[in-house]
Amino acid sequence: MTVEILYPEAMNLYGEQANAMYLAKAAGAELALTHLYDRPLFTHEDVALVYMGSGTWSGQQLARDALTPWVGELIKRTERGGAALFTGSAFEVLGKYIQDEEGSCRPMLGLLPFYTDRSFLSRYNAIYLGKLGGETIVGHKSQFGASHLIPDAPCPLPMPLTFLFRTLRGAGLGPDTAWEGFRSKNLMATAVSGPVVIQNPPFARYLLALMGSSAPLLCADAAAASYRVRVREFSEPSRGVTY
Amino acid sequence: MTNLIADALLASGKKVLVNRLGSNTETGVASALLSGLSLGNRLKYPVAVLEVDERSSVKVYPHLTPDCTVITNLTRDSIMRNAFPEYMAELLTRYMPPTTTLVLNADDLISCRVAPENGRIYYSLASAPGDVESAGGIVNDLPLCPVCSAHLEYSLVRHGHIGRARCPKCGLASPEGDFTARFSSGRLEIRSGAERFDCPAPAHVDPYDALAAATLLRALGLSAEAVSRGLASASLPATRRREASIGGVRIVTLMAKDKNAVACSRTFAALRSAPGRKEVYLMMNCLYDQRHWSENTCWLYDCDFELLCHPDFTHFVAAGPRCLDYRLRLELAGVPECLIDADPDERRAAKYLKLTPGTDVYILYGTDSVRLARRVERYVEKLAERRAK
Repeated sequence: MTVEILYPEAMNLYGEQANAMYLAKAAGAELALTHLYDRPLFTHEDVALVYMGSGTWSGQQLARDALTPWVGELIKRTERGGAALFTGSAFEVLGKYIQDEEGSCRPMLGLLPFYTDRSFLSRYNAIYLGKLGGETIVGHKSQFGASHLIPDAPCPLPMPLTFLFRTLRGAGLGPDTAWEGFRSKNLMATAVSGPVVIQNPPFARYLLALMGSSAPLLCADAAAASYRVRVREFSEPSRGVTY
Repeated sequence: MTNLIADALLASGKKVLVNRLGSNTETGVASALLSGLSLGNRLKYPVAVLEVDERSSVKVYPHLTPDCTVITNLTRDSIMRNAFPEYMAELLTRYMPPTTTLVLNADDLISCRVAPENGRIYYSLASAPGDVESAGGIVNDLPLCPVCSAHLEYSLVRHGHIGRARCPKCGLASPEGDFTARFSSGRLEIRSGAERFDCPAPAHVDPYDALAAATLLRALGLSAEAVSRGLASASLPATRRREASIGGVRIVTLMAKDKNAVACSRTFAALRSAPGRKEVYLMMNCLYDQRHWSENTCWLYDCDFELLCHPDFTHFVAAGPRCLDYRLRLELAGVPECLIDADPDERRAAKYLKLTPGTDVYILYGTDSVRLARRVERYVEKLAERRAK
């Protein structure tokens, strides 16, 4: 079994690669690092999970360029039910474009029907509390702007396309959207960071199952204890949402 | 760094205004400046040494044009304020006054590229034993060439991306230092053109900081002798490091910073290289965040906790509101569960310390828990005294 991290040299912020490392170690899977300018492993080998985490602005651009030739393969893999997870600012790479306040517009992969606006000086920092099915999800958001749904935009990923988390506290896709992230079959994308897998044992267990592993979580007791405290804190009405 | 420069200027007879206690945001800078005025609105100081938080430069520089600005390095810091170093470099470039001369670390290819039109003086630390060719650890903030995006080649790495880099594709390379130094036995042998001088790096001060201070002070016109004398008189403030020995237990209280993976990793590296057995009390929680929010702890996964996974580390106590996150991170780094105790109450957590004679105790705290750390330190000292009786 293999877990593939896409472009770790460009998308290496906020400790997010630990998401994939955690799952790989728990499942006893090999961890494959695919660098920029290399052909992704998922295009020619069986990969249990494809993962990409947060990156800088230039990192997002490089990841987009690197993944563009393989978008068709990623869509086919998703149609076959292959699991993939994009977190933090990797989420924005899957959208239509990123637009900054000076008017410049950077096309992204166009796999999902949304765009992201980016403001140089403002930063949205907030806690996130949501639901994935019946399970509570906790994490943080740290963004230069917000993402916005483009309702009629075509989506090349397999249907049905659904939102990933139902938001209880904090912002969803954008400040006025109650839903967060997207899901097409087993491809999931969310702007929530954390690392979101490690901070959410139920989500980690769910992903392991999608990968075909029934292995127990790593450091399960410590992870569960930390999760319980965060869920309690984030649920307190008096706890501030934004930084 | 700020204190080093201010102490050296004071030792040379200058009257210096300084925001010494680390209030480096726009409000801290403003209050320092106000304190530098007489009731008659006259300046009391001919020189101001002001530490300015990178993010606050947006609000400070439109109102203040420094003659010189020292940028020691740009590495990832608080996700909320600083996002990532590339962003901070861009922000500094946009807001740096064009007449300000920059004193820059030639061994940091990120800060080297800030405000390229400004006058600049580079300093660089020569290769020394312990330097390596490739970056270990989790974080390298500059693996790719900022011009052509090829993978950079490092001929020397101090930590993260701090070292000497070259792009094999476009030829971009770390600039040569105008001031270069060799560091050994607590002294810097500095060269600048034909000039050579020797100066001390105060105990527990990063040699890069001492070299940056020396470079700035020479740029300001102090003689080499005055620079050397000035740095000899400088010391690390007690808010950063304290040490006591009680009943055969050495207790070291260190500011490791919170929300800053690079700073904490460097502290962990220093602890790892220190000889002997160690017991570590971790309280780098951000108390301010906890009062109104809930700290974003993603930085724990950029931080090299794996350095603490070594038989010399005999016990860990995680304290404060995020103690369970520390416990989890330590366990994931490979520290056996049985070596970790955790308690959200800092005082109660201290009781878990074993305080074994011959084992050094390190209390690591964050930037906004200086007072709490002092209280914990006093309590631990009392515990050590009691157990020694």
